[in-house]
Amino acid sequence: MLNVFLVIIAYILVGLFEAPGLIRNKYWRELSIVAVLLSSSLTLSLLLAMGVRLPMIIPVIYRAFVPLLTWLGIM
Amino acid sequence: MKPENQTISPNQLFYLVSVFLLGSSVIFLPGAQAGSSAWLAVGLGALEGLIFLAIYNALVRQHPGKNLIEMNELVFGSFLGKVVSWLYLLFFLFVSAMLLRTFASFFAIIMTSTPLMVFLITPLVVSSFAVRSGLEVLARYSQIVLMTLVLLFCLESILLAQDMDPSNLLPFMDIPISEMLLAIQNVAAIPFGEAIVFLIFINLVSAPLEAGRFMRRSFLFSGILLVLYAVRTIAVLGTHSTISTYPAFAAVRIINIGEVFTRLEILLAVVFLSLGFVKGSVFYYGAVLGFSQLLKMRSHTPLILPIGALLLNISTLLFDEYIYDIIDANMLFPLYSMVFAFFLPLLTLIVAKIQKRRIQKGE
Repeated sequence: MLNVFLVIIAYILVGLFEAPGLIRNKYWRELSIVAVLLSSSLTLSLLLAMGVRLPMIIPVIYRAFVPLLTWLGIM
Repeated sequence: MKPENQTISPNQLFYLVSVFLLGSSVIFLPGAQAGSSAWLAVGLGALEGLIFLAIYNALVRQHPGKNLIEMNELVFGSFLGKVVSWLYLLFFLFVSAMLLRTFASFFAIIMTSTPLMVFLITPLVVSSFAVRSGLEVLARYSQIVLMTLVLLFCLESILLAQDMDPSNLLPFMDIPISEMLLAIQNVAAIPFGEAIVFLIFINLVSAPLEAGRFMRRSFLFSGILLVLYAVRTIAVLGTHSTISTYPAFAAVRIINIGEVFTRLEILLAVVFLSLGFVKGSVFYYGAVLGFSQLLKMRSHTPLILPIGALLLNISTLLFDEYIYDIIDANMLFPLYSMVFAFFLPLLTLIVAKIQKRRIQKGE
């Protein structure tokens, strides 16, 4: 539970660091992009912090490449 | 808050590209599959890298003052160009995360009881500072680091001289030609093919048409230095160099002169840290600049931390067993990175040439 709490604190800090400058300059478009990026990243981080087992990237690429690797004779 | 308006001189580009190319390779033995002929694989890989560079230079000459994203839009049109640019950006993001993880794994091996997250977050925070300060700061930093690296290389080589055995370099070419080709391809992909990221910054170089010449120089310089590194590592370690995870590191570890000059490998670890940091930051910066340009943002600085957070997540999600890092570096990356390092730039160049010819005929 501590992990989840720390992750949320970290993202709040990042938000507090970025948002005021953007709001002051009325950069609404930029603010929305940052918000979308940060929230999608927060979702991933929360899942990781809660210990949810997500599929790993390189094993997935590896499985997709096995036919090509066998054909090339590398494996 | 301002859009990117820093420029670097071609000379600074030379240092930046050299440090970038030497980056993560100084501690490994590139082309290790080739056994005792790895140094030859490194040299031929560097030559293959020069072919990639010729394509990038031709692209720059065709579109002076434009960067990769603007080139894509000019050549492939508005929609398809954006799709291609997004693919490039995802690749940059992925490679950056990969580098971060390679680093973290290396230091996690030295300091076994520290959690991996510490080694992921610390370099990332420093990188985000570097990206915030801009390309020029990175370039000036690489100037110092490159000189330190060359000095340390000479020092280590002198101290290692007594442990070198030239007969370790034999047998010459004692492997099937297919394995040699694979080793060459590995070297060409890491690090030379990765230099595609510099096409994002090419409009920040003060003399874009001269950039090609200086980049060629850094390709030659780092190629030669990497060959020397490979010769030294093989001469010291012999066949052991192909099974060690960090061969160059293991070679320097051997230095022992009168129990006084020992454990010098930490110097190499420091160099690895300071060089790889440049490489990771360049990819990180490329992703940030590209994102802000594609999303038509007025400033790229607000993107630095959100993309950093994304990088952290991606690098945690890369693999859970270290074997996959080795599989990726030795088998997968040399194949799929060619899409971005070779085929896409070549396609862009061919389409651009055809368009140019059509326009000339139309007139």
